[in-house]
Amino acid sequence: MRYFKLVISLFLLIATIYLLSNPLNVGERSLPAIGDLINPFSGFWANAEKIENESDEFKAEGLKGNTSIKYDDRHVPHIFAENLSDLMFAQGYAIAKERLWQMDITTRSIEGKTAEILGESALSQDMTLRQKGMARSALLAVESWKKNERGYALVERFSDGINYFIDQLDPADYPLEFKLLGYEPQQWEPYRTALFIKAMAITLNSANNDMATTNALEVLGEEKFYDLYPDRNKKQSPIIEKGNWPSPAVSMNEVITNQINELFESIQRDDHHIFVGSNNFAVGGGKSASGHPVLANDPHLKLTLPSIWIEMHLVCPELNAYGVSLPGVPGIVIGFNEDISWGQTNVGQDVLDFYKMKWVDDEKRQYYIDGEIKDAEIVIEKFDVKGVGEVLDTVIYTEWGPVMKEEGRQTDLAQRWVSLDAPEPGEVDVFVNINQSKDFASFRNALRSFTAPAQNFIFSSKSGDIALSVVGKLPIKSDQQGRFIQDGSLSSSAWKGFIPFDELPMELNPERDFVASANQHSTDNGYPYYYNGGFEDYRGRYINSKLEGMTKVSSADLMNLQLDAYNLKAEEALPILLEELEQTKLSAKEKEVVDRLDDWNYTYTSNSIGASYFEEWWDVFYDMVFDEIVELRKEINVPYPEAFRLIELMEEEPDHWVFDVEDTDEVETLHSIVNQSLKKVGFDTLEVKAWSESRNTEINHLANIPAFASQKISSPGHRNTPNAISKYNGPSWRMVVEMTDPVKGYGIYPGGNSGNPGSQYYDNFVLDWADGQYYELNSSSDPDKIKLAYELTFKPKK
Amino acid sequence: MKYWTHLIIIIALGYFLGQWLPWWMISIVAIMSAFLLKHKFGLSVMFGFLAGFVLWAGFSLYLDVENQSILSPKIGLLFGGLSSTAVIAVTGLIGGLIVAMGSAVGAAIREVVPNYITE
Repeated sequence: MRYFKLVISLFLLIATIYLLSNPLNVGERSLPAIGDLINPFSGFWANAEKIENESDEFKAEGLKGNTSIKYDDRHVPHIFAENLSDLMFAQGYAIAKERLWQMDITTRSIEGKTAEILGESALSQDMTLRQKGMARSALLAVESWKKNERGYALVERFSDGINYFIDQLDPADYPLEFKLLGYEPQQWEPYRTALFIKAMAITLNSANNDMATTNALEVLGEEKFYDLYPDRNKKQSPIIEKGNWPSPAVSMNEVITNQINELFESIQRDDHHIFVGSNNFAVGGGKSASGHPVLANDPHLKLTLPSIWIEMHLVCPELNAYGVSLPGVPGIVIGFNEDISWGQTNVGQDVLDFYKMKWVDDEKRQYYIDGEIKDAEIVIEKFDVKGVGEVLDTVIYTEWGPVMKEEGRQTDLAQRWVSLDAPEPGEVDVFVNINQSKDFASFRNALRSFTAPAQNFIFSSKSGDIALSVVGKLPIKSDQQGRFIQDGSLSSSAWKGFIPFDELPMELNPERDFVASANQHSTDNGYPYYYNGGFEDYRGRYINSKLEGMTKVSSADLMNLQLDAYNLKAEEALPILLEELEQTKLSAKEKEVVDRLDDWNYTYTSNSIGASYFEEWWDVFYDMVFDEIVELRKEINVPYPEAFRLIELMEEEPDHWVFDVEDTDEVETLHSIVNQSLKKVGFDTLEVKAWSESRNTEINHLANIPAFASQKISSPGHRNTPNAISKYNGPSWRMVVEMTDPVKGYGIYPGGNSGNPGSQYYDNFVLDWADGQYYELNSSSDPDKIKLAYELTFKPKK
Repeated sequence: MKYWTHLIIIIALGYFLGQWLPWWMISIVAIMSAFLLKHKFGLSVMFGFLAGFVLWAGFSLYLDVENQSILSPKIGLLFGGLSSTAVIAVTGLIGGLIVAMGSAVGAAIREVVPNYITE
């Protein structure tokens, strides 16, 4: 009996310890070791940050002077260093302190190494990213950066700062997500900064619909294709209206289209043109109340927690810059200094094209170019999959680029993408150079090294200049080139080089005294270089027309424009819909809907019901008009025509063939579709919620852990309005800067500076952001003027 | 008295060693303490549980207060909708369980080891 008790209790103890120390697999989910996680001394409880932070002091090797990071009441780090090198070290430290897990997971995903921590479920995504050549191109970038001695030294110091933070950590101090996913932080190196930049390139510059467009051309024929998919909106209001356009050295008369007459099977469907857009605009002194330029920028990205941005202030003798950084990239990306302010929106030009390979045989190891046999480069990619072991995958590289796979199956399509090319050596410190710029000349010079992802850089200075530069490595293409899959067996299918920096669209102090961009076409039709891509006209046209009419502009006016929820698309479409509607045939409920729509001011306020009604109706109407396309998409990937084309047809050709429904004997027109579509929505029984609830914006955690998300965001806006909030995307940073002396900055982003869900600073800006508020940005170079919460001091280790 | 001593040893050593050593070391402390204090099985288990519960629940309660309960409701959601208090209670239960079982082993060893070895 006595032994029995001992055996049983010993067994129970060992079994419990074993169970609690090992990860558990419950169905698909893998739970971390509960004992480690719940232990209050080192598990998740250790991430319950104290509300009061304490100041601290450190000694670090390699520092040349004393450096301090002063945290203000919003947890924004203000970094004061005695030189640029120390500043980079402290910036790396400050970013890692808040966002170490985000830095790891973002770069790990791009590198194709998430299966190492997540297991087999993540493998196919990893393989796709390796096949895209991301890790390889990041290595290429680092090789190029090394040629820039100063820049490379800075990114090394930045990495040193990150690693200094990592080396201080005990497992108890690891960010919570490391504990939940059961892995450890890895050392940072410049290569990981390159991966971060590649992540931005995927987000911003990898959109294309070459396959869908090729299919559409093949199925519809040229006439119908160009009828439904015109390159430009006739009502366009481009970023740069009338340039002093260059005369290119390359002949621009050739047209490359329809080289490949076949259909491309793909289970994927390109969606409506929903892209991550952005706004930036600046007015000159002649238009502003203060007589100084005012600049605004709001990049619209996927909204996540932690946010893509981290707010900070960098001060050393070489610079005093305030704004937001990407957690992994040195310098301030969007912001202002004592003399200038700048910001970015995305350039929609298509910089990723596909080429159909002509293989020598089914082995796909050799291919023809101009009849000559070439050897492909075969790369074996290794994946260390958690719970499985090593898995190998073959990637075929051609002269064009890597050959794509779909669902693990080898396709014949090689990808040519500017972001796989080696960047300029100056890429590595391009933002530091911008941060140091004092006027337009030095700013513009810094931009020369910026290659990808291509951006519309807006600029204003205290000295009174405003400017907008389209910047990036943009290919020289023949007319229509790159809209469709091209013949990879002809060297003549290649891009004809890249548009020289000085021939990229740019304007400085235009007559209208404002500059603006909102993802529309870069230029008017007079620009000699052909380009296509994903462009959005409604925000751009609306913003330009508003700016045109504004005088005595203050920061508050530009804030209001950022927050404006007016939809030009609805303004153009809805009156036509209502006019065609036969009011006598409506049910009581439908009559009520129409009355609400009649009164609606095209503005997407949170509680607008008109906005929700319009969206419901418009979606059904669109699908009925383009029934041909909707049907085709069940079989094969073809693109949706753009809304501007539909509105053009509504205005100009109400009897156009596209309004006819294929399945019926009658010939439908705009009139019949408008009436049928309203009935089809089923307003009689449909429960329609007010706009904000209907849009249902979510800010999700980067690992999709619902407990760490911020959901049910109540806020005005729609993706076609300046305040471009959609379900998952929106203004990821709103900034307005007045170039007075001293410069006055305002900004906010939907998140918080800490990446720790256990911190009060994890999501403390979200409600104010949704509410349309801005914080004053304190960019004083005097450390005593910072509202100090606590401070970390770094001293050189002798 | 020797059971209260057990409780104090567990809480004190558990707190200090907890900063450095893995969580299960607290059961080793419990084994040794229960054995050396010549515990009876049932009482040792009870006091062991109490000690483990007080230590883990107490320390997590302190952290939760310092954190103004920002993290605990999120972890509660992760565990399927527990409140802050429930998360603290679960933490305490697990701490209690481990120490109780350690104490049980210590007391059981005492029952099988002839008394003269330690006398």
